[in-house]
Amino acid sequence: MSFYKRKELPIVITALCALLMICAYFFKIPEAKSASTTVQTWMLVMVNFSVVVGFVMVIRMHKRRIDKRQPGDKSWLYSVWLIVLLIAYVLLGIYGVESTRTAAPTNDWTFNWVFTNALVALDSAMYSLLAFFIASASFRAFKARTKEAGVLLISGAITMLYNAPAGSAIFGPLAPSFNDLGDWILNVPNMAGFRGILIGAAVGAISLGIRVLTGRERGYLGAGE
Amino acid sequence: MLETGRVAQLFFLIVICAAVVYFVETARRGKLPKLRKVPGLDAVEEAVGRATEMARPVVISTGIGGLTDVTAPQTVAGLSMVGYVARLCARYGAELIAPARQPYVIPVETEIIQTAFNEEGKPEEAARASEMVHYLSDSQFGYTIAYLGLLQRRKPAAHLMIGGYWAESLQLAEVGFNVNAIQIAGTANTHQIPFFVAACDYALIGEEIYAAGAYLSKDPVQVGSVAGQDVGKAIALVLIVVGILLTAAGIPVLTTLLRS
Repeated sequence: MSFYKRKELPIVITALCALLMICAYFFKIPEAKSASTTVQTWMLVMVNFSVVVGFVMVIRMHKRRIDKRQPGDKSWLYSVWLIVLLIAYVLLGIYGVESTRTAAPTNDWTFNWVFTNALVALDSAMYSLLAFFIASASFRAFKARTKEAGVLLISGAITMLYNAPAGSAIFGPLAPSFNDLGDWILNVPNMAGFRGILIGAAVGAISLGIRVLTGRERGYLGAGE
Repeated sequence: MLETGRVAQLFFLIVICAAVVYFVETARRGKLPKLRKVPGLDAVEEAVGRATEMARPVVISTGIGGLTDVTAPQTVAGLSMVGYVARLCARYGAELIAPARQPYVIPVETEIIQTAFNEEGKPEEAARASEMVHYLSDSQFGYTIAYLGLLQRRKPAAHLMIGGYWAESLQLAEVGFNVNAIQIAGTANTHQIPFFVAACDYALIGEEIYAAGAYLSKDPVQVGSVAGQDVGKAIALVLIVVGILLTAAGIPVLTTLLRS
């Protein structure tokens, strides 16, 4: 196997970088901290360059879709529209840099207008759709078919009413005790479960880190077994 | 020499590392720890088999986290699963689609899929690995809407989500449910786990996603390292109980030690 294709090299690089980060985090060694900052800067540069990879991938994927268009299927027009917008927005960003002579294209009024009035609005619309997905998922999850589902239904109903103004209105004078019950569900059984999962996940992440560091876990390198 | 406030952290890191190394060595000598059954991981092969029979694709994603921050372990766990699922898809002849959010994950996923197909003796499909990875968008909801469209159009028979997921978790899981895909999902983000439990057929909770690589590979060394995790959990449990008792008795010695 050629040298650059061997798995040992990435494992050694991963282990060295990880050890450097651990040293910089735990020890007061100025050289380690400086080297760690440099490595993190390299990482930022590489990550930003990878956007170009994404750009090329999107163009290739949608070009393929346009090439393989079927008679009667108009969905390829969306791919054309996406490519046009993608290139137009990149050009707008470059123009913004040129016109303001700064490294930040966000100074350009048109670039900002598109971002605020198209991207931010669409993002908010997508996020708000979550409410409907929660409603349909809750409907299925709250069917009391088993004892556990019954407990989930009761605690879920109490927590929902506790959070909604309707809860206080329904329970009237009993509202303070009802709110205490809602608080208790959130802060005691719910928090206990959450912390248990959190501790387990943290220890699991450390164990995975050790496996990666020692080259035992190679799944991320394309060697699952 | 040591940073203030990080002594206890370093001590416990060393203890957990030592435990993992000990169990790895024990496993290497042939004394394998017994792993409990994880139904979600056992169902992966069944899900890919179902997709093959139905001639519909398998969709697998590693979440919206990256490889450069605190969510990296979740992405690495997801990538291990991509390798395993790609191998199964190659073996059974199922179509694989891997939507990606971070551009720098694309070459990694492509390499993993390519290796899996090559190792299963499918070099022609391996050459098309880059077509199996779909870069959607760097924006969280741009990625989500493109992913939802992909699920609606391609109607996968198996949908796997292992990695770091945030607000998009339920949207993806609900649409997966609506297209009748068998769904296996796992994340360590505690606020998203209930969504996966509610909407998916199988949910991997927290640490289970990190153990997936070891569980599926059955590699004794990796299985040994999972046993080492239990020592970490036992330490946490003892610290919690002792901490409660000492704090209730008005002795703050443990909190002082942990903050040292």
